[in-house]
Amino acid sequence: MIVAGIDIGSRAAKAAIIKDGTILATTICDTGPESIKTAHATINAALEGTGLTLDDIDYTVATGYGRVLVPFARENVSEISCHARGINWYHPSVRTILDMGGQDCKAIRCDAEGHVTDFVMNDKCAGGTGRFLEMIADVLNAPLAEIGDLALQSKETIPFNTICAVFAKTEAIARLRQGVNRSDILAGLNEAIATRCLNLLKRVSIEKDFTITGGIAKNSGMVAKIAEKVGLEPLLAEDPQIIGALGAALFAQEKYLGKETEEAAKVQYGYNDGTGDYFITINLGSCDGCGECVSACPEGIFEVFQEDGHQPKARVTEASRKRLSILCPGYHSCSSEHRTNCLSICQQNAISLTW
Amino acid sequence: MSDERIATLEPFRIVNNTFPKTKEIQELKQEGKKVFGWLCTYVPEEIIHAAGALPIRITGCSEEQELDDANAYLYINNCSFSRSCLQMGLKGEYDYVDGVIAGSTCDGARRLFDLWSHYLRAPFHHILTVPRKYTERAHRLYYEQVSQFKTLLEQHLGIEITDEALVKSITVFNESRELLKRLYELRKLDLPPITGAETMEVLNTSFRMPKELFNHYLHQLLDELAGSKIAHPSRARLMVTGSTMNNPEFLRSIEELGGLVVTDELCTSTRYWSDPVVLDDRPPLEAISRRYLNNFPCARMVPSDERFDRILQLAHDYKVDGVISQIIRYCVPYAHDLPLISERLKKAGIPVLALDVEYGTSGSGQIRTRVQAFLEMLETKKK
Repeated sequence: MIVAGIDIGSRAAKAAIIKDGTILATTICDTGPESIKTAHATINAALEGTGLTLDDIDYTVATGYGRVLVPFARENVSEISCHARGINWYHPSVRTILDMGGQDCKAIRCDAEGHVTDFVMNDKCAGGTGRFLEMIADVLNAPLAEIGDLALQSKETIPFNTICAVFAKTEAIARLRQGVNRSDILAGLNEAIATRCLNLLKRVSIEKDFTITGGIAKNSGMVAKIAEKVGLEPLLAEDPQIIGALGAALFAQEKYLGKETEEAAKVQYGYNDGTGDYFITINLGSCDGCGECVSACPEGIFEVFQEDGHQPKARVTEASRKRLSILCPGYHSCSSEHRTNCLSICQQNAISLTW
Repeated sequence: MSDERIATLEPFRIVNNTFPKTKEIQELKQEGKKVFGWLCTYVPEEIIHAAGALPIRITGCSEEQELDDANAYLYINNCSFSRSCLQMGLKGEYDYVDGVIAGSTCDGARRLFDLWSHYLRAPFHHILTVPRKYTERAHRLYYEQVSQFKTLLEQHLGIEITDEALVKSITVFNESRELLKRLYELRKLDLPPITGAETMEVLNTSFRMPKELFNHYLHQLLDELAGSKIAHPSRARLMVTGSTMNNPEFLRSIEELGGLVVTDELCTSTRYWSDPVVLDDRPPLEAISRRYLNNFPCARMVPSDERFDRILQLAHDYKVDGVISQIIRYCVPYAHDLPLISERLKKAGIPVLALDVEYGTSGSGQIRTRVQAFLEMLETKKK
């Protein structure tokens, strides 16, 4: 089984390929102006050297702001769910995530399975995001990859009153003219951003363990400031930037497996008599054998059975199987006459009708 | 979401697409009928109706629009709802109204009223003082306000608004409320036959046309839905709360992601129709006054518990999986209440997604991401 996750972010596109439960390849590319081209370029970069082609991938899930424009993806999942799922792969103990991306910032809470339990996202403003840091690196004439370490060399943090991208740029230029050290300016900006992140995190409440994901998590100066503000040392992944894509790949794996078992667990009763399809399908995977459908059906179509050593499950009675179209008027007619019926009573949504 | 169309929604859509200058309103104006615009659900419409005039609700543009003129007139911390309404007024969209009536309920509505009366100068302007409490003294104060409004309107029009006319108007408006209740009952079904966006289209027309005609259209819709096979399954059943909102596209963008809006706590929807005027043995004016102050409350009313209890009851009755709170920037009453109601809902096991919006916002990329993540979270919770 080979599955892939692709995360088309605002600044970078990431992909992860998982084969039989192990990470086969990951990649990070620049996001181009055309999402579809970017998606192809990114997955091809990830496939390079694996000896595989796009056709070998059984299931792909897309995420990130360009998630709806990935032509080879079977489904799309929001980046919020993907980051929670992705970090769970490396650090299942993580409960609080700060995802710092190219154009937004999110605080996410999750459980031991990597399921999201709460989240908040910054508003329209791009202050304090990856784009902001790119601009500042430009103003300071320092390579983006080096500004993290540069900030760590600061001896005196310069306080910044704003993280508005426009005003911060003006203020940074003014400081440079005054002869202030680049590292002190960076430390000041990082501090302002870290304060803002802390506010975001407080809105979902911070619980151990804590992590930072997204491209900015690779910036050592920023990570240090956030760790200082939050008061917790973040549990970082090997490459925090690919966590979204990895999460998408894990969703792809789950969905691919789920589809296989779900189909195997479904039992269909009924027939086609020329006037239409009359099939009742019971999903034994989700049916918990509660028996509510047995009493809900006015015609007594259902019964509960139990095989040795197995959980009780619902099925259509032997006598009803060849008379379904006569016994059951169909979901709509039944629900207009009765307050409850097999579909509405089933908490597990295990029953479906074709008419 | 199924693509099945409800044929009887068409008349509602025609009204919404042409409002404020709909054919019906223009024809009534030509016949000499007066049209009065109201700004807040604490303005008793029955009185305008009983005066033989047509009450319509002043709303803004149901999409984000350029607010150049309104920005020039309104101070920066006025909400985008008041801006949007003023913009439409300044553009002459409501130039036919014979009067504007407001309630002193929130700063946005008050400043909008001030500017409207100062710059747009309709022939009649009035603002009712609305108490924030439900005590007997508050009821007496509000009754005086309602009674004064009636007198001023009588003087302005040179007519008398009789008790008989008031009772007739109450009957028409109560019928409308009853029909809307029936429409909402259908949304309690496991697979409702109508979406949240479609319901909002219906509700928008409820205050944009003569009530009698609206009731007629609504009867047709309910008849069609009764025999309809349309059924909307969903990833999660949602309730929308918060600031004033009458943009079906916003709800549609949520529903395109697989959520189904089954109920709401909006002054343009549930809070507009929820409580009937109960006559008992009261004089009609007093019955009207009581209904408007005791109606499903706005976030400005205190104590807030009455509103919170009703929201929780709705969440229970409509089997809501999650609540989407949408609050316009500077909408202080709703923003202030949000942490309190969120806490109560979360305690009841209902997660809340808080969205900061502007009036007329539809589903932008950021909103879609949040809603999608919220739906994914609710689905996982259900499993």
